[in-house]
Amino acid sequence: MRIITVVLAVFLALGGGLAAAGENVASISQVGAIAAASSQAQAGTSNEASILQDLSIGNSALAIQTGTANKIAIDQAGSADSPSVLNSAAVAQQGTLNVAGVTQSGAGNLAGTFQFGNGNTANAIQRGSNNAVMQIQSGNGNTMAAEQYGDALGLIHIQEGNNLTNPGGQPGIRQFGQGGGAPVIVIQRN
Amino acid sequence: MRRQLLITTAVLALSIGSAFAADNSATISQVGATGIVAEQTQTGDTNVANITQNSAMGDGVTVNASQTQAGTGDFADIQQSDSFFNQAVQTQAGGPGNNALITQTGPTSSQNLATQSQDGTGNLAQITQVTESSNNNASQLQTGDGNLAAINQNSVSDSNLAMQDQSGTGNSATVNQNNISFDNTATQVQSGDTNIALINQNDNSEDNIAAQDQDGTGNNATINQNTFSSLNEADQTQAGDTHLATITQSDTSTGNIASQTQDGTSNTADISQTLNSSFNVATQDQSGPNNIASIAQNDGSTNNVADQVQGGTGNNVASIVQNVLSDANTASQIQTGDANTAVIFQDNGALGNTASQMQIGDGNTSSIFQTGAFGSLATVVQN
Repeated sequence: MRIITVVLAVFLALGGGLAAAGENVASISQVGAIAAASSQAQAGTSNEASILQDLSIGNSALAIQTGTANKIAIDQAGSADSPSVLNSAAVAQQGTLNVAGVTQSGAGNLAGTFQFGNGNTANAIQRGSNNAVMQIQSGNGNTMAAEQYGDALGLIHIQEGNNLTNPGGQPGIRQFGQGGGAPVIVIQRN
Repeated sequence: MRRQLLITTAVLALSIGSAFAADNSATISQVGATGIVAEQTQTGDTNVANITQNSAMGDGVTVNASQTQAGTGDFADIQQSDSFFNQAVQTQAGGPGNNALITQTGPTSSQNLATQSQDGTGNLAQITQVTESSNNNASQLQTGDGNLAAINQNSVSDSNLAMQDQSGTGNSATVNQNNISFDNTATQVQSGDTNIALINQNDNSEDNIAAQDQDGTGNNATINQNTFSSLNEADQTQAGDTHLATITQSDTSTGNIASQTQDGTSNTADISQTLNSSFNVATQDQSGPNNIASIAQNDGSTNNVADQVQGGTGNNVASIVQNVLSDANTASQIQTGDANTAVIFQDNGALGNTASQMQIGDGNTSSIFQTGAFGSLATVVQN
């Protein structure tokens, strides 16, 4: 609960002052960069935000959306010869029916998705070792999924609300609430 | 005391044409005198007036050469060489086809003043102050349509001042301050439609100021400060619709400032600071819909700053390109309204670039592309 409170405070400080707008599209592409940083903030309905950090080292990406039916996609990709490493990605969405996705390839990456509202969907995919995912959802009928491929992984899921499903037996998963129906999917592969 | 004596012994040459006469020719030639004065007045059509003053020195107050013509197809010419503190004034009313020419050349010509005034259509005014000329002042005033105005202050010229003012339609104004010219100032003001304004301050020019102000529709303004030019300033202001404003500060130009302001619809603003140009600043401010703003700081250009602001109802396009070995550049874009597009390209630099975009409205699109830099920052806000 303390974690959610801290994230929510930061979230409101960054994006809470935005006026509502809709159908905006924002994209950032950073390729072959070191210690690069990207941030996006959108408020309103049906907005789309995307950040691509390819072949990167030590980059950070932050995307914030408030409103309804918004989408965020962060991709910190790489190749077998030039993986993206030591990157961090964070997504924060407040509202309903929002979708967040984070994809990271390489080692030493951190991914976080934070959603506050109902009917939201979050998905994180990591390929590599020494990666970590933290996902938090507060609301009803939310869907959360994470896939990690590699060694020495870390995974924390926190969901608060109704109509949540606790798959059980997975490390780092915590759910608070009652009822069921919304799936939570966690896949870890070595 | 010596100066007073010289003035009192000055030569006064005066020729006055007969009223409403045509095809007259009047010529005055003065050499090596001090405090000389020549005046010519002609009324009628296709008259010719010439004044030649060599190695003369004025007092900085007295008008040494003046020509007044009223009619069509008249020709007025004043030539002052190796002169100091001289003043030349030409006034023509009527047209079309009037020509007014003032030439003040060196070496070592300085502190000269040239003034031309034309009222009518289809006229030509030209002032030439070249070859080691300094602290000269040239001004041209034209009222009417289809007029041409040109001021040339080239070739090791410094601290010169050029001023052009045109009102009407289809006029053209040009100022050339090139070739090791520094501390020069060029100002152009045009009111009306489809006018053209051009200022050239190129080739080892520094500390120059170029300013253009246009009001009307479909005007074209261009400022060139290129080739080892530094510490120059270019300002363009346009009010109305369908204007084009262009500033080029390229080819090893450093420390330049370019500023464009457009208020209206369907205007285009373009700034180019490329080819090893660094520490330049480009600013564009557009109000209204359907405008296009573009800034290019490419090819080895470093430490440049590009700022774009587009206000209004929307449908605007803004682009900033800082590519090809361009380092430590900063780009920012602000757009209000709907259906705007903002794009920033920053790539192939060794040091980090910074890009920021803010869009307020619906249906806007923003894109930032950064490649191969250390510590680059990208920020987007849409609300």
